[in-house]
Amino acid sequence: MTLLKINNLKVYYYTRRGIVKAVDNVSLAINKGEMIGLVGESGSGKSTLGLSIIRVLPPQAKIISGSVIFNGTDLLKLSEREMRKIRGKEISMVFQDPLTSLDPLQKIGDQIVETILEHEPNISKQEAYNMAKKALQEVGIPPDRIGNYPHQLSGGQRQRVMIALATVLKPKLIIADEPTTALDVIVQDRIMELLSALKKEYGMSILFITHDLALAAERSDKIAVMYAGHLYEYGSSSDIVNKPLHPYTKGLIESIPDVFMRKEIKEIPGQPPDLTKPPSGCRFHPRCPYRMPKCSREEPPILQVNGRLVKCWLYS
Amino acid sequence: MVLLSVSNLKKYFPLQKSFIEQVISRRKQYVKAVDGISFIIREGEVFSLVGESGCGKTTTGRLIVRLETPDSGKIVFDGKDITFAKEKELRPLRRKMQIIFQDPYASLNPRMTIGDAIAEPLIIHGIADKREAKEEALEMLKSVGLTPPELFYKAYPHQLSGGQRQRVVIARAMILKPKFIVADEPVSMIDVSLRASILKLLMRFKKDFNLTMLFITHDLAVARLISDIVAVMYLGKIVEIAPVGELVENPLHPYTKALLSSVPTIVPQMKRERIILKGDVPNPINPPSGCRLHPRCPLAIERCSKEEPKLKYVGNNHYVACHLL
Repeated sequence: MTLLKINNLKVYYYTRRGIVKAVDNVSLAINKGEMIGLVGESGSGKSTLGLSIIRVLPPQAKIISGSVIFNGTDLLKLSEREMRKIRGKEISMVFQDPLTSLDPLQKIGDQIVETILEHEPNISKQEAYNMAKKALQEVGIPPDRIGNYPHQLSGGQRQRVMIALATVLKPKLIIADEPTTALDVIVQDRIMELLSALKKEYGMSILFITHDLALAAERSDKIAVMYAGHLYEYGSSSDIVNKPLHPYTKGLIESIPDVFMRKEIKEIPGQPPDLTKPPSGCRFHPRCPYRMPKCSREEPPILQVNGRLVKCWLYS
Repeated sequence: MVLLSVSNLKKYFPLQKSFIEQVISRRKQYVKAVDGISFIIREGEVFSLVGESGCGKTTTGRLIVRLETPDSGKIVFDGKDITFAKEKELRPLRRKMQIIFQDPYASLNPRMTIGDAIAEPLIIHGIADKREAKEEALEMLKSVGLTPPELFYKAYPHQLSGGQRQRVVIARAMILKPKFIVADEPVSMIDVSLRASILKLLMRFKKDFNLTMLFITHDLAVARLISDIVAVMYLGKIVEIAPVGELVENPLHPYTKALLSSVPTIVPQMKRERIILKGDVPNPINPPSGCRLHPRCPLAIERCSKEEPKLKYVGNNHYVACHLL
């Protein structure tokens, strides 16, 4: 069952250098209880897409068109007041850097209590405190830490607190934007394990935004690949990794080394484009080894091939 | 032939205290960044130091090129003891050993053109005059793939992308034709699709110039690709050293096993049993007694908390510091 449906979303940044088409006509559906790995390099538009869903974009960004249907309502049409009721309760977000997302002057327990009371005015303070304790316990923070300030915790523990804060009200969707990028591998593995467990336990959907294709493949049910503001491929994780269809996905897989496989790596020639002047037609065409004359002239449509979506002229 | 040998190397950093703390307590505290490590690197080898942040891998790299002075131990490079060598004695050595840092944004002077930055080492070391240096720099720009070289010669760092800047940093390190390079996380700040080209560039230089390399990384997948030998560090100690294939297929130290079972992979069927370590990495100011992993190790026995394990040879060029073996 579809929980969230993004249709033809366009988000542009108005900068001094020109208009950056960060997300350009992207559609994506997320089912209940699914983890979607949204994979792309910096500047691909993956974070912008995540921020647009809960409408916390920076001031120079503007949603040009499209819709974000969550549980039947278009989030882009809600007033700011209505949106605040959704943030943190129905949809919550986990960012890369927990230090900038947590209040340094407030005890971690109090921050969680505050979030609960904001959304659930009928809950007593004592009840909220107990909920916070339970949420912290669930993410592996011992109860005696509830009175700690963020600086008293390690990086991994802070990220656990962020996750407790994001999940305490059992939202239907969590947007996790590079939640483990600042962490070491062992800690990363445990945080991902925790997210997977919460997903299973409460049937939450997770939009997991990352630059790490291997990590996304290991943990997500499906993978969406973004490049230069476009969504180029979307399908089950095993399909994407074992039989990538889009030349960019293929290139990405061939370019990353793997610890358990001695393999040659191949580079993707060229560089990601400047999005104030994106290439015509398919935005990947200047770097694509399979490009045809058509690719620079016309933007490819999104095609359904063997149960997945791919935006490439090779398959039309 | 052994190019670099390091024995029992130690570096402790004094902890900064506030004035009041200094008045109340006279005892100085130290962060034991590198605490008695030994290894050798043979000519033409890529030796990787892997470990989590704070394990001491970067400090080790900086000690070897003598950007830091060790507290004790011995570093012998190319037959010469450089452990406590003075700046004047080090200068001729710097031609033979170069370092590449993680952050290509911080490693280049923003006011100097790319070409001048690459040519400068030749002039400083008195190897070439200005004109010759320029010619060599242009040649080097071509060889690191920044073409047309004339155009890049005149460019400033801010006009280049991160990947291009890292190529400039590599070009500047390589222009002196060093024997030995310390590469400290050279791709961790580079975008995924451009990492491969930087790694391939380093591998090409290694082959073409029979370069010896100390490669510092937290990324085991990158270590697998580029190294011949890998040493795993934990809290200032080396816990395991082995040829890369042997280490991945037959890890023996519980910490190495835990690391390997946490690395994301696209061939998950190759993953071994999960080893879960308890808690977080302890504070390096008061590292645990005995084996530093013992409070977190699921296999720890009584001896582990009392006696520090030494690196033992277990065959196949493989060394492990663990009491269980």
